[in-house]
Amino acid sequence: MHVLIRQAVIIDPAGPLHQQKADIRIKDGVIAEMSASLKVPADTVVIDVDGAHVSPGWFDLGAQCGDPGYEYREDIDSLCRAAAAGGYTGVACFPNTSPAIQSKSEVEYLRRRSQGNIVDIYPIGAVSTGCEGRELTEMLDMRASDAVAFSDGKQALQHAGLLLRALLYVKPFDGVILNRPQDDTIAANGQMHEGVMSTSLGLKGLPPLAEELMVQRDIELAAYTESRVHIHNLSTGRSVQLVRDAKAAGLKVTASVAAMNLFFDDEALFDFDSNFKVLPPLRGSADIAALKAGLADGTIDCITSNHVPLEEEAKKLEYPYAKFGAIGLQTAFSTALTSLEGTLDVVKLVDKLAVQPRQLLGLPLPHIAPGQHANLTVFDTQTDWIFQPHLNLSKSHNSPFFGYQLKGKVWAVINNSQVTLSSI
Amino acid sequence: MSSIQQLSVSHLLGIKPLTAEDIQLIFETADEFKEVINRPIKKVPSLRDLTIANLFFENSTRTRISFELAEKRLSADVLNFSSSSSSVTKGETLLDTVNNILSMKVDMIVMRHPAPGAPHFLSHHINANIINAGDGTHEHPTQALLDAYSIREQLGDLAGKKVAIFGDILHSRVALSNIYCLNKLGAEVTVCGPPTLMPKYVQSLGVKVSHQVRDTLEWCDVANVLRIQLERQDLKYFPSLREYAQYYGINRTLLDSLGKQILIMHPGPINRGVEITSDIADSSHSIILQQVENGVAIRMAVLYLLAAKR
Repeated sequence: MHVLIRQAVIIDPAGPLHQQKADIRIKDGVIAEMSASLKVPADTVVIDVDGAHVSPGWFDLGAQCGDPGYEYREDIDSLCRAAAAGGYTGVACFPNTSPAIQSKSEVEYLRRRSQGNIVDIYPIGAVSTGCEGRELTEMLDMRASDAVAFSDGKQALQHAGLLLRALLYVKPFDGVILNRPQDDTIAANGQMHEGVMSTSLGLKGLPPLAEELMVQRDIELAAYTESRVHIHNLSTGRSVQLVRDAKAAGLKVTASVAAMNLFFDDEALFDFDSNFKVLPPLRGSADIAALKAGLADGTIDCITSNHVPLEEEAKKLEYPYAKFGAIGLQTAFSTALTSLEGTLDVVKLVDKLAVQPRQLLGLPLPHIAPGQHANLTVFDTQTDWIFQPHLNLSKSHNSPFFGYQLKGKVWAVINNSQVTLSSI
Repeated sequence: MSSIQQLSVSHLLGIKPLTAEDIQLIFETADEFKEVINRPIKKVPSLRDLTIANLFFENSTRTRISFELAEKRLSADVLNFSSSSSSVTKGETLLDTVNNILSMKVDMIVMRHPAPGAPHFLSHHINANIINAGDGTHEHPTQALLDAYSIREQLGDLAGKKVAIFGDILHSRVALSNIYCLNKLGAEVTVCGPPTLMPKYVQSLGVKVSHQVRDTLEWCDVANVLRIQLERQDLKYFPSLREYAQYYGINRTLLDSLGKQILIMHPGPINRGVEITSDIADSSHSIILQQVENGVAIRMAVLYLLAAKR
């Protein structure tokens, strides 16, 4: 495989050629040479795009995959296709499969099953058996099989004592527990963000309090155990402040936000469209402003796709009967870029998409320099495009973004000696 | 019916999408139909070419009967479908059920459904006029129309009238539709009930909130007392019916102590002795049975006006 990337601005803050413009030649999966202008050898794929940027391949901290058990929603191959089209070369997968990723055999299955793909799949092991929030799983064993983190995924850890023990248990290997905060006794049967819109629709609300109580609890548990907790996909302004304070106090707390929560507010639900039914719920405009400020000042470390593929039968229903979740791998970058114009420059955006997620999981960061294994994403920040159903590479179609104009396009990803070019 | 005016909508999904002019048009049309249903021959041929399906996915007696009567008095062909179980537990989706019925050439759908937004969902996927006869905790537009119409009949123009809605605001589609309707007609609205049965952001709908029954009764011209919806409460929101009746119920002693006459309304069915005592429900204060009569006229008006939009 020979690839030549023409005149791309390199975004690689810790690398040697940060913010320089160069031609990059890749041979057999390795960056062979870089210079101001290179000749094109025979049999070479040339990527020549106006305003191209190239950065270390992006990494999604937490997508849902359907394999094993829900392959009709998403299998490894379709997940990798959607991820590559969205600019990702690495995806950490949550354990909400059937069976759950809860022992070394499931972890190893996922590792083995995903080998040879352009996208590296990293299993997140369950904290509790079946993600049911009762018994701790064999986390040491899963860690030994390369599970990168532990979480019950879309199921928030309701039991404080269980999380406390999990946080203690992962300390010997400096493990991290991801928890999406939602106190189910407060959230009870909520269908969307509690606010003016939920009131006008007669839908039961998910109060910000349901999230914030658990963020506060998790921070206290991190302080007590001196262990690492990651607040996954927070969504309210108060949550951002709680994490900001925890970081200022020196606690090992990190946080992420889902790109879709930066783009839409709860007004999007005015007509009961179940494609906007996601967790965490789409919040109010003040929350979105606080999330952006949290990204800008470093309180929020990562931007996630919050990719939750669901079959049509689970979504094309009366609103309260539809399941929570939306696909997001192909749109996360563009929605983040569109939402964060004027808030985050491209260097900071790459930091949230590629650098911080790997750092959080203790994974090595690829660099763009001669001799390095080529793991990179080529993109621009000015092309306007519209996400249309025929462009969707996920097996599921539950996207709220169809028909929306987005800014910034992924042109190619290169990893594991393979290249995927944009299909549009 | 010589009116050439038309509604701004082609479905009645709720009161929220209606304009004040739409509501006035429905009232004026209902005036004419009320005259019709008090004739010896209570039937007109207006909708004789239409087939209307009444789909009730939730128990109902009076709303279903009222719609059916309205349809029959307009000479429509009527099809009734009732299922107390939700579509999900039944195994067939709502869309499949409705498409099956529509393929038998049905023109309009009247639907009651336990899920908020179910008629909106339907309106995106089928080609028939839809009338929402109650969608979960969201809206019940014809109830709000007949409530406002009944107030108008008793007190005249609603602008500036003070209407209090008592009871379980959190689970009530009647409350939400009433709030929208009364606001559009210029009435002042206060909602009154225990804080656990009050949506946190209810004030954003343009109403005042009270937890004091006596103060609210002293303020209002009309008291619309809602049914305690025990069947729609998934949790315990108050400890006992006995305590509710004592602190939030409306009784004779309370009304007599006000020193003024107010109208008492109730959308039915009444939990006698809980939200309202029998001596009040059956008293001259009460216009509960007039509401029921007006319900038929209002529903005739809505059916007639939506049929004109076909």
